[in-house]
Amino acid sequence: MFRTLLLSAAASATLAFAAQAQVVVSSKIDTEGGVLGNIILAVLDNAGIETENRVQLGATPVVRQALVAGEIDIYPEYTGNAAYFFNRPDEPVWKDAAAAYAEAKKLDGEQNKLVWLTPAPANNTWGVAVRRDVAEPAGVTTFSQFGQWVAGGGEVKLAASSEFVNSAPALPAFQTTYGFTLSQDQLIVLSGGDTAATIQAASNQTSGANAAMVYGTDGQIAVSNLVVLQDDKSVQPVYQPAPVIRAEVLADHPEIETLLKPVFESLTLETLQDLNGKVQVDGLPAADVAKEYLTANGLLK
Amino acid sequence: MIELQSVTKDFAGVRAVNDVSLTVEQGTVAAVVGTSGSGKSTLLRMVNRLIEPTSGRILIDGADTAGVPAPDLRRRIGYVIQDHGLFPHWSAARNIATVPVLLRWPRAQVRTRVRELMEMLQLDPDVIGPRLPHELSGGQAQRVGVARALAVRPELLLMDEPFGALDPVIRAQAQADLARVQKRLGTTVILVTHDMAEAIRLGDRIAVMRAGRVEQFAAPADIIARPATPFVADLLGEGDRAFRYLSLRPAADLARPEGPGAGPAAGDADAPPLSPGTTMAEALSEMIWTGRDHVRVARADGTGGTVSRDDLIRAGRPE
Amino acid sequence: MNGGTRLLILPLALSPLLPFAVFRANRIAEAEPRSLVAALGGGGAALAVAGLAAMIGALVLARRAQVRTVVAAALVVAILLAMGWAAARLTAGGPPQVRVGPGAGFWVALVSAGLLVVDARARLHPRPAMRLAIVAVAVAIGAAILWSGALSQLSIMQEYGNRSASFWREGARHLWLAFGSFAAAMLAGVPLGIGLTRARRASAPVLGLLTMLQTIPSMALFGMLIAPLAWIAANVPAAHALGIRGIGAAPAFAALFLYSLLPIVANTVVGLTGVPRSVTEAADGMGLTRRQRLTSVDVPLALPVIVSAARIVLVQNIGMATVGALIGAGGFGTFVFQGIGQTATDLILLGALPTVALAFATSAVLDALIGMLPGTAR
Repeated sequence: MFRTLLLSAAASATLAFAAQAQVVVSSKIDTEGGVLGNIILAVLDNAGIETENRVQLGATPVVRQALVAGEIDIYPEYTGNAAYFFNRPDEPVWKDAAAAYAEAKKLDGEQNKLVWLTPAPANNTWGVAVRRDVAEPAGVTTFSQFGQWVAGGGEVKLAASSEFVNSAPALPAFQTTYGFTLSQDQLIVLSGGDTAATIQAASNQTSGANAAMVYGTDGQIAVSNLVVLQDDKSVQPVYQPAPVIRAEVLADHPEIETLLKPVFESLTLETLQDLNGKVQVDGLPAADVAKEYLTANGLLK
Repeated sequence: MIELQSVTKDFAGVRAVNDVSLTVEQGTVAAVVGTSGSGKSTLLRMVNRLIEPTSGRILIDGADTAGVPAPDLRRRIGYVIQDHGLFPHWSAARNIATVPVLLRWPRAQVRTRVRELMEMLQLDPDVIGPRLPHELSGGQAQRVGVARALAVRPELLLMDEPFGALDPVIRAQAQADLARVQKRLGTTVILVTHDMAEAIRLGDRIAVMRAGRVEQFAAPADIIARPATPFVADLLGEGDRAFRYLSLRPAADLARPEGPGAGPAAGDADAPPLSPGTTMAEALSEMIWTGRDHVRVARADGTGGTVSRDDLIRAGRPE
Repeated sequence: MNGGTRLLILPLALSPLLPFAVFRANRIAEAEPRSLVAALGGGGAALAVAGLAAMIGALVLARRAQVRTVVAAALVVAILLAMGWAAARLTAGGPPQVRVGPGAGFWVALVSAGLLVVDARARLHPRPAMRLAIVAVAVAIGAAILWSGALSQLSIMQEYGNRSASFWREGARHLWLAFGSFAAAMLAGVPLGIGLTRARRASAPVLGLLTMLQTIPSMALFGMLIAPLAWIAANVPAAHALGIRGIGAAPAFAALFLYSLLPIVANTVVGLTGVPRSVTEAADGMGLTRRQRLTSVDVPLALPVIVSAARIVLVQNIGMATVGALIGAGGFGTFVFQGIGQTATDLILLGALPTVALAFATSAVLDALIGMLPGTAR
């Protein structure tokens, strides 16, 4: 018994040493974490960089803590989350994509020796998606248009969680900024409901729902034929995913920056919805989805 | 020979055993009697050093027990306790083999020894040997406990209320078995009991303890005839004294030879004779119950004799 | 036939009236019920109903518990195979996203039949060795069905098919976490319990501390261990070399270890103090040394109590190891939490079902082992 323990300890010790030279690639446990983490992993592997796969490691605090502690080297994070990492959630800077990215990059660079690489042009923020068969005839793609349309008597019924309906920075903020008001009849409140439930309600027109609370890159959006409204007056913080890497590791492998730049630039909102959908709706393994996307778009050599 | 020299034990300031000195001769049985709390068990447990004396010495054959590591000492001394203390997860045979195995005897020797002991204690080795303690009767468990204590033929056997958990019928049988085995092996025994009758029956000498002190250490006949203190007399029970005294000797000692014209007719000449081991107390009890004034007793040599009531009554009073 | 059987026959007999399967256009779409006829086809449904009727007849008429056990077990297998067949029929020719899972009728039939097995088996009063054999046979039959591919078109098996490699890797991690932390806790907890019976003054504070640990919610304890372990990993090279990290297996292992300690230590103390005084007294009087008494008397007698703690701890660890997935420890929890993230019930089940099966099997095996310990009179 004891000898086995010693042996396995010795084995893990050698593993730990071997791991020193490798770039530890990680990500959050959610669907998009699986897709983005596997994309980073595939790109680095393809470039001949030795990696250790810790993709879908855990929840946000765990992954963030692990990166700061140097236990992982790189993982994709959302720009808007920097507001919470640095405990400054109420500042307007996070609502502008470029400013939010710059601020996150600056703070983490100064305080944690972390580098935010090029973000994806996709905003995975809290918002509303409308059924395509409603949005297209009404010509609605942005929240401003949506506000005018609703104020002008457009027939909408929104499925959302009670948190979205009631918390000040969510629906009330959208209503104030875009000049519309949803009556109780126009709301289906799913208490404790997640976006899976709201999207399904809108998709199946449960109780007449034709709009849903969503996160921008939810994998169900595309298959459910919903269109995400653009937050054109920046009510919500911007959540653009970007690879965050330890400066020390980037210094050893400076090519990572240029390797990941074109890849993340290619990840638009629709692309991410599609990739997430392949994992979430079709049930394909995230690693396969990532590789297939990279190959199909000539991003792997 | 076991010598206790001024042995004293204090427990947190309370003196449990107070300056006790006594000598137990080789091959004899010393019974320690007393009420509960008199210190008798403490005294016994100091002999095998389950309890270390506060002061005083205990010598076995002249050697101080304090000079031997306690486990080694205990393996040389048999120990029997009231609830037999058999190891519940071991068979009877394995229990008996405890000390031989500790002493790393060869397996074959252990097996032979266990059989021998079980036969001596009238336990069928093939039937009782494999049983677990919870499958044994009270009497069987007690005998297994004795066999275990005797496994390496210790010269000294310590017994702490060994028959306390047995019902009266089985207890009498167990006491007789012990007396028989002790005689056969010549083991020195120190027996702790609260039962004066048991002490009188089994002890060559009796130590009466009270509040940590030995009040009297003497042969049973002396104790009965001349109790040293009122406490000893109390313990004997005044009403029972004569019967206790008579219980010490076999009735056959008083028998007169039988034959035509030898003494008055026994009245019931065809009644079967009492067995050779019958004590004078039992013979008198028989007479009172059957209303006769003579009984016939068999002697160990096969001859018979007659005992008269008057002789018995005379014998019941120490000279 | 007894009350238990009669109670279960009714839902079993009515189960064909409920939808046997559910159909989803994709894995998170809404489930549409499919009747037995739709699932198996007219001929298949007729065959299934006839088979069910025959087996119900056998269960009602059979007097011997052995016969009823075998028939009920065969019924369970038949229900599973029918489900596999239904899945294959309903997915045939459709797009790959299509998912077919069990419906209400299947569940009612399976649970009734399963309870019939349990009920009949309990009446056999099997000895411990027999109980072990029954567990082994059940595991073997289950494995054979899964291996045969008969269920491969079932939604949960499609989730497995997409992750077969990582399934076994996470399974191995799960076992290592649950059993490794258990073994470490036994190695530490039993000696600690022994120590507490000797140093009784330390007993109350130590057990109090362990009880307090037990009351910390698992996620909190897992999280609490990250920071100190990360600090150790960063500052103690030897610990780092041993593979100790703030994330991953180390904090999960440590948390499970800490949770395991209380039952093991407490039961060791209870078991040892439960050894009758006359027995310890006799052991001392026989001349057993402290160590000899411990190894050949005290611990063997305390063993049934210690092993029941082991059972509690193992089942608890197997369940709780799933939470480790949230701090990067892997294990079956990975599928549970990924499934929650994707709202994919089948993926959640892919993590949950093996965990439950593992806990059941472990509990049954240890139960039988407790029954086989010497000195446990039955």
